[in-house]
Amino acid sequence: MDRLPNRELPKTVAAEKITIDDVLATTIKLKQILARETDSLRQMKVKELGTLQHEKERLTKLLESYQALIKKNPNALGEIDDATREELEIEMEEFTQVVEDNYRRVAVARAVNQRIVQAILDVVTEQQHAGTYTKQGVSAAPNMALSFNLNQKA
Amino acid sequence: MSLNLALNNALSGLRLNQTAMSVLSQNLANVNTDGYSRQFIAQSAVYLAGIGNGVKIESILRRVDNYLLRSVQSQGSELERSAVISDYHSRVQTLIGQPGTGNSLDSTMTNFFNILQQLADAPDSSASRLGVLSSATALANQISDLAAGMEDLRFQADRDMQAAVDVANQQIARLFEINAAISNAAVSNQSTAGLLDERDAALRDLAEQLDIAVTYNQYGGVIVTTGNGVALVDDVPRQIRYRAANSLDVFVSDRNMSEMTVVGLDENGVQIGDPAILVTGDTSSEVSSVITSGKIGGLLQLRDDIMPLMLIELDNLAAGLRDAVNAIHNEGTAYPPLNSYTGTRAVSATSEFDWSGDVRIAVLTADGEPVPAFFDDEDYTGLRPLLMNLSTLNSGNGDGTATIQTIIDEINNHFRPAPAKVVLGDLNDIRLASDTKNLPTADGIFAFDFELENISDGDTQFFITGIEVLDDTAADITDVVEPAFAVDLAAVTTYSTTDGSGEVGVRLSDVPSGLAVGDRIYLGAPSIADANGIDAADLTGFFTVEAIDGDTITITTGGTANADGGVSDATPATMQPPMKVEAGTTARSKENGIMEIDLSASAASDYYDITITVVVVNGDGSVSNSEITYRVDNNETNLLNDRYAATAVTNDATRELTNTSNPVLRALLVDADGREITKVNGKYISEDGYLKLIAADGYSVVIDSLDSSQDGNDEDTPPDAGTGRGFSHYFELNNFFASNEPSLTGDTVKGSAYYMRIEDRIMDDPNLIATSKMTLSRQPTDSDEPPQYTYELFSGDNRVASALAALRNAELTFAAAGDLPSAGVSPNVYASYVLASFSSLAQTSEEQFSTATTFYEEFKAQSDAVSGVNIDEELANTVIFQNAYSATARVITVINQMFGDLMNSVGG
Repeated sequence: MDRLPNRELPKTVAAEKITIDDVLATTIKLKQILARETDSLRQMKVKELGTLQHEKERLTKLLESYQALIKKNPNALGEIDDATREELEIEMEEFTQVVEDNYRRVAVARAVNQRIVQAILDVVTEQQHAGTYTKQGVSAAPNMALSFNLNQKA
Repeated sequence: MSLNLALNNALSGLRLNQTAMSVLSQNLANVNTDGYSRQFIAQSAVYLAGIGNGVKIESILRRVDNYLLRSVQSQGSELERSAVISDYHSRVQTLIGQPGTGNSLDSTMTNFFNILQQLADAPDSSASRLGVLSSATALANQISDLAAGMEDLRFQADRDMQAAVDVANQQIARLFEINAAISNAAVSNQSTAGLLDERDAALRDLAEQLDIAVTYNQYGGVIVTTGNGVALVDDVPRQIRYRAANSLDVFVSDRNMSEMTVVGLDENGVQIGDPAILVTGDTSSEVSSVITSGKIGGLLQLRDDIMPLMLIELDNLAAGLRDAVNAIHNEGTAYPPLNSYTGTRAVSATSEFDWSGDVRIAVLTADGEPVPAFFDDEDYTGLRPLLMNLSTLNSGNGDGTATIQTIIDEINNHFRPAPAKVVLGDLNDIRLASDTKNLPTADGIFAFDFELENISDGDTQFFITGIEVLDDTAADITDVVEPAFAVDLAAVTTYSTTDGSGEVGVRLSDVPSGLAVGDRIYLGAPSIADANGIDAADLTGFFTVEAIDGDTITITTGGTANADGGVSDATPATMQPPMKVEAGTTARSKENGIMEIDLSASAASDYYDITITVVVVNGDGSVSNSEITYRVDNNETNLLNDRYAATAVTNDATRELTNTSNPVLRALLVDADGREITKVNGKYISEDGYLKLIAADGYSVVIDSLDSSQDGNDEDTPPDAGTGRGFSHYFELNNFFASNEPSLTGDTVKGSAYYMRIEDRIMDDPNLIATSKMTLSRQPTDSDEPPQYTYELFSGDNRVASALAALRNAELTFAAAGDLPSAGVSPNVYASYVLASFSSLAQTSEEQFSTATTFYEEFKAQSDAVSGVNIDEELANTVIFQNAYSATARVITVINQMFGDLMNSVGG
């Protein structure tokens, strides 16, 4: 399997060109990207996470092309020997682990971030008293949606 | 595990945390108090909707930092909760073992059915019986050990909860002291930095034990409550009180557990005020708790929700297997058969249930052959079994509704020799049966019918044509209220004749159901002198039904009509249909109606001699007549269904005397020590006992439950649907697996796994494993010889063993239990469902623990960051996280589809 990570991936997918090695190599590369993403999240290197998104998207698109092709033509990959089939099964299992880990990390990071931003919004909303006085002399704070643009200068 | 399952598990863990987060977010506005932690002076501009509104950025930072601190506490609670649950699930997985390995549950069950098949192949083999016993013991032990292990985990969870309460109390006391120290330091202008660090640690440790909410008082101290507001730390020293269960039996027997409370203490440590309840002290299914998280929350969940839910799934498997095996085992018998059976279900003689179907009970020799009959004229055959029609048993509230006492009486009536019997034509015995409970009755009415046995080779028809009653002075007191088979008597409305013929069309008010061409009927005397020349005498007596057309039957009389046409009878005669008794059966004539006589003319008579004029139309068409006299004693109780032997007969009947006075079988109720329970006037009192059937020395008892069914009691409120079990299974006379609940309720699902075991008597003697059923005796080869209606056992019969082995692939109905829906599957498949359910729960708990860990780490990292929350960065990160999240979701979608298509494509 060592040959696969270094395999040059096709730029586009043509029906007669793809092989099981292409599929495996793309899967392995995507797996590596996901693992790096997970590591970045673990180390709170969020900016590095951003730099991986382009490659992640490119590999995903490539796999979508493979998937469409295989669905259209189940014989597109030709005969698969037992060793390759076993390799494929192992890869599927490993990929499942990695994507599960990645999904959890990303989902939690997103959830925590959303909560913190919500907390910020709640505090800001609470402190915003730009209401008007009514005839009864009561302050009626508008219950409007906020466009949040925060300029922080400590 | 599939990708979908893995992701679903990850998602479920996430959802759980999001719920906790939502609660935190709602509480956010209340967690800060002005005057505390004013450490920042710097101001910044904040623009809302493009307008600066002067919000202080340091205020936002401080409160968001506080939010993070609370989140760390909250996630610490959640982490501990999920950690302890995950840990216990791991222990369950250890108990279960690896699927498919030699000692796993599925392998043990497969082995049990394999060995049963070996027994079916060689039903008389001692080695096969030992093998069945060994494999069944292994299976029962494995199920009960697993249940015991899980109950023990509940016990451990309870003790761990006690330990967690101790830790919580240490932190509560510590926080109370720190509050006082901070207050003092504030007064004396001393630094509180060290105290605040210590307080943070105490709060974190307390939050690990249970979910808490923290606010601050005006002196900078903390006020700590449980998540739902029960004070733990305020201006009074407080303590959580809990006493763990002292034995495993508390959980096994589902007894009430101790409650968990918070109490206030005075300076001497004595309780003040009423305790606040955190956890109620009920049985596990009734416990309610305000603790939702932390170690205590997790342990409570394990003790009262998770483990019981898993146990009920295991119980459902055990109960389904036990009941299916027992139902079949109760239909059969060991070979050689047993001398006695004693049930394990406690019943009361006065309990009345609805029953249906038949049960056959036989007394055989130790070799499984029929025992001698009670009368010498039956020396060519043996004693026939009792075929008890439960649908017609009656304890006074209608057919098919019988008390246990009635059932016992019925069995004893059959196997206790009557002093004499009446043989008339093809009927071997005609006994009067009481349909009255006590004599004398208030209205003087005595109701009765007959029990008729036909052991000939032809079907017979039985008629009553006269009743005479004499009292103890031989005075004739005959007063017949219902003459004979009253319910099916029909009125003759018209006689239709044909000129020159003796054929008559008899129009009836109603043609009795079951009346068929060829049947004999009895026509009473008409009030008219003749019908178109056919004399009244020729229209009276027995006739053969030649045709039935609507409500008219055709007969041939001895007269000749002189005209065509119909003749009506103003005072109609009656038509009595036959009471049919098929060859080889015993029937109660009450199926055709019950006779009633009024005895009030001599209410004080010591006895009554009731003489019945009967006619029997035999299978060959010949007719036998007799007058049979029965003596019924007055001033007797508990007469219902009692049988009376004839005291005198005339004409064609003969009266045979029994050759024995010893019953060959006794049905009785015994206590747990095997002693017969108390009787009054020959009947059991309302006391629980176990049904015992015991044959005479050297004899055996054999039961075949046939289609019998205990159907509960529809008079109960709410109606009791009953068990639907056959006779033997209901009384648990011949169980293979022991009942888990020897009480009036019989087996229950709850506790079935824990108490799964083989019946002691089978453990002691594997030869008691049922393999066969009784079979009708072989018929004589000479057709002139009378038929045999006895039943016996034959060596090599494997019907029950085969039925037991076939359970392997039988579709059993398992009710919904725990997380499992109802299912109609084999025991093996259901076992795999249960184990998969356990594994899925373990996997989910592991995922939730993993997710909780990740949440905790995220919040902890944010909270610990030196610069605190960077608002600008957080907002920027929102976009990155959302993109990464969407991209991963897209990866999951494409990979999931592609892997599926790929494996189909390459034949994986």
